[in-house]
Amino acid sequence: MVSRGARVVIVGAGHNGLVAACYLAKAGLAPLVLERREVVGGVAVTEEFHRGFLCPAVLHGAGPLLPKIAAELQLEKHGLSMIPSDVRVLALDPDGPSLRIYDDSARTAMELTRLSARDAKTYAAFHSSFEQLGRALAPVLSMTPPDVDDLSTADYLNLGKLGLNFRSLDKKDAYRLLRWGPMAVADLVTEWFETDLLCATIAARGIFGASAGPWSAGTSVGLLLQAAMDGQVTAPGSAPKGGIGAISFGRRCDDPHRRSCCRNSCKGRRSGRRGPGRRGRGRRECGHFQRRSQRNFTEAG
Amino acid sequence: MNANYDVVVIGGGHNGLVNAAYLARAGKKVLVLERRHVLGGAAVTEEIFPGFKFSVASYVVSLLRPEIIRELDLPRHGMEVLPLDGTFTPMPDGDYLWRVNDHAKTRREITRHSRLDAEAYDEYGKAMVEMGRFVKPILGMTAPDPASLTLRGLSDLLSLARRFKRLPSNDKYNQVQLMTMSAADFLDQWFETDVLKATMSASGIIGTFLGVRSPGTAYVLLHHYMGEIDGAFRSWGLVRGGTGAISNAIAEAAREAGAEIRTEAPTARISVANGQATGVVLENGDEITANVVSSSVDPRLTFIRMVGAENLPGDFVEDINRYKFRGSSGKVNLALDALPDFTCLPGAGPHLRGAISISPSVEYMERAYDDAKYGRFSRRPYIDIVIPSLTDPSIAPPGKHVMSCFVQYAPYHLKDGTWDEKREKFGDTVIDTLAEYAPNLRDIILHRQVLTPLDIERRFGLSEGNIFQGELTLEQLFFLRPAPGWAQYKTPIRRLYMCGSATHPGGGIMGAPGLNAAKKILREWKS
Repeated sequence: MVSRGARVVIVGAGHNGLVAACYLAKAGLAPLVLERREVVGGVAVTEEFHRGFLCPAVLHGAGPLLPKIAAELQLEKHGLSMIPSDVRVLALDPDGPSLRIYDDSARTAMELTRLSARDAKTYAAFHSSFEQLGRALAPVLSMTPPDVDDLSTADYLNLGKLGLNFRSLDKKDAYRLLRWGPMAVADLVTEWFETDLLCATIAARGIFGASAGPWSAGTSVGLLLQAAMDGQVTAPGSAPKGGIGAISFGRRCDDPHRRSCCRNSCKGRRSGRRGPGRRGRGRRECGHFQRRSQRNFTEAG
Repeated sequence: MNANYDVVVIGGGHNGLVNAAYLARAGKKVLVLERRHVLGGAAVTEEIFPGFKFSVASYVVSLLRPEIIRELDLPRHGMEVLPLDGTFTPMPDGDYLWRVNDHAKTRREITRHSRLDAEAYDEYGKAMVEMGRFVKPILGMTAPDPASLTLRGLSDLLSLARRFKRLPSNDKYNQVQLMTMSAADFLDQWFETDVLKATMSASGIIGTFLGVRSPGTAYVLLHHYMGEIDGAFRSWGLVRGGTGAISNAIAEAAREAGAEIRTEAPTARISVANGQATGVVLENGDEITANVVSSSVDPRLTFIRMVGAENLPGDFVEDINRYKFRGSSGKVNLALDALPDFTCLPGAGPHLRGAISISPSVEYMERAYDDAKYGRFSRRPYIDIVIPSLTDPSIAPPGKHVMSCFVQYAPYHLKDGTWDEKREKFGDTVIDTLAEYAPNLRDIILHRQVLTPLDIERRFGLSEGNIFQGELTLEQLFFLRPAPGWAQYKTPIRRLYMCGSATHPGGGIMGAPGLNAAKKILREWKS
C-alpha cells in the first residue's frame, strides 16, 4: 500500500497527530506534520499566558496518555518527566471536611472512615470491581473499532479477545459491566455510597467534557474507560513537568532513519505549503526538536 | 404433594390473565388472585362518576401481541379495537401540527411547516418500521443469560447477530444509535421542525424518569413503534368500553379454558418451604397450596413483601432493592359537559378524535423534566390526551364526554410536601395548562379525578407509581430485567415465577411477559 520512505502528510500537530507521526516514522515512512499554530500540541499545550507563568492552556491532566505509548516512544528519554502524586483528587466541600482520593484504595478507604464507616467499607469492593472490569476492557482502547458492515479477521480476533475477557470475569462483575455501561453515573455511585461528596467526586469523571449531567444515562462509560486505562475511577493526579505541553513537546522519534518532520506556521507565512528551499530549512527533522523554550521552538520552525 | 391448584397466579392484570389463560389452555388447574374488586390491573375500565366510564390508567392499545389476540380469540370474547386517528399538537403561537393516518394529508400538513421534513417523514417511518421488524422477534424470546450461556441462549444470540448482519448498512447504524441516543438527538438527525420533533420525542419519555434529551430515550421511541393492529405497524387504537374490555376479554378466555378467577382476594404472603414455593396465604388468612406460583405483581411486592428478604439470597435482595421504579407520571380524568374548543383550530372537528398532545417544543419538554429532576411536578407538563367518547359513545351519557389526560412529569419522590397535600394543586396545573390552548375547558368540567403517582401505587399496586413496573432503561431491559441472572421468568425460589411487566420485554398492554412466562413454566413442568 504505502511504500517505505513514502511521504505522509498529517494535518494537525496535536498529540494524536504527533503520535501517529512517530509511529509512521518508526515504520520507515516519512510523515510531514502540519500545524496551524506556532506551537505543537493542540490542546495538550503549555503556554506562557503571562510573562513568567507557564500554564497548561487547555488540558492540565495527562490522565489518559496510554502507558504503552509512553513506553514505546520512550517519552521519558525525550524529556518527559512526570511529577508523581499519590493523591488523585482532592475534593472540597464548602460545609464539611474535604476528601482525598489516593491511588491506593486502602488509603482512600481510611480517609473515608472520617466521613462514613459504611462507605469506607464498600470502597474497596467498588475499587476492585472496577479494576477487574478495567482489565477486561483494556483491549478496547488499543483496537480499531470494528466495521459492523464488514468484519475483518482482525475485527473477529479483537472481538473474540474481548469475549474471552468477558467470560473470564467473575459472574457478578460480568453483570455489573452489562448494567453499568448504559447507566447514569449518579445512579451507579449512589448504589454504592452514601457520602454526597464522594458520589459527586466520582461522578465528575463521568461527565468530564460531556454535554450531559450526572443523571444522564450512559455517563458511567467515563468511569469504565478510566478503569480500562489504569484500573481507577478517577483521573490520575500526576502531571508532566513543564505542563501538559511537555508531552507534545518532548515527543520525537529516535530512529536514525527517521524522515519525519514537523512544520509550524508562522505569522505571515501560509501554512501547509512547502516552498522548496524556503530559508533552506523548510522542513525540520523531528529529532531536532529542542525543548528549550517555546520561543526557540517557534523560531526553529 | 396434594395441592389445591397446579398454578396460582398473583395479580389479575392483563399479564396475569394472559399467563393464566395459556396455562389453563395447556390443561393446568389455575387460580388467579386479584386484590381489587375489578380485573385488569392498570388496564381497567371504571365508572368513576355515574354514567362516565374511564380507562382509569392505561388508555390506548397498540402493543398487545397479535398472536395473543388470535390464539385467545379475544374478539369473540368481546374485544373490539377502534381506530385512534392521528395526533393533534396545539401550539402557543396559534398554529398547530396535526398528523393523521391519511398519508397524503399528513404530508401536506408537515409541508406547511417544512418541505424537507415532509420528505424525511416518509424515510423516517420506513426506517422505524424496519427497526421494529428487527426488534419484534426479541419480544417473543426469553432473554439469554450472557454470563452463563446455555445452548439455547447461545443460538438465540447467534441468530440475533446473524439477523443484525443481514440488516442494510444504514439500518445497522440506526439500530446502534437508537440504543444509545436521546430521542431529541435522534430526531434532530431527521427533522428541523421543532413542534414535530417535540411531539415525536414524547414517545421516548412516556413512563420513564428521563427527559427527551437524556441518552437512551431513543430506544423507547422504538418501543412505541412496535405496536401492531391487524398487521399494520404503528397504529394505536382505543378499545370499545375502555381498556378494561381487553382484560375482561382475556379473563373470559381464561375462564373458558377452565381457569378460576377470584377478585377481592389480596395475597399477603408466598409460602416458601426449603427454597421452594408451595402456595400463597391471603390477607384474610386463607391458605392456598399450589405446585407453582406465578406472580404478575412487581418485584418489590413479590420478593420484599410477599416472599420476604430472609428467604432470599442477599445479592438478589440487593438487586431487587436497587431496581428502579421512580414513577414519573400522573393521570387526570375529566367528565365533560361539552367538547373542548381549541383556539388554534376551533370547533368539534376530527382533530379531537385522535390523540391531543401538549408538546409544543423540545425545550418545553426538557423544562418539564427539569422540574422533575429536582423533585417538583412540572409547572407546565407534557400532556397526552384522548377523548374516547367521541369514538365510543357508550362510555358517556349522550352529548357528554370523557377526557383522559396522561401527565408527565409527576415524580413519586417530592422534594417538599406529600402528594396527598399536592394532589389538587397538581390537578389545577394540568387544567391551567390545557386552558391555555382550550379556554372553555374550565367551564365544561363536571367531575375531575386526579391520580398522582402515589395514587397509582395505592390503587393499582404499582410500586412508586411506575406504569411499566420499573423503568424501561437499558440497564433494566432484556437480560437485566428485573435483575441480572434472573431475566428468564424464574426466581431464586424454585417453582416461583414472574410473569408481569417487570420481566422481558417490559410494560405496556403487550401481554408478552405473561405469554413468555407461561411457555417457560410449561417447559419446566415436572410433577
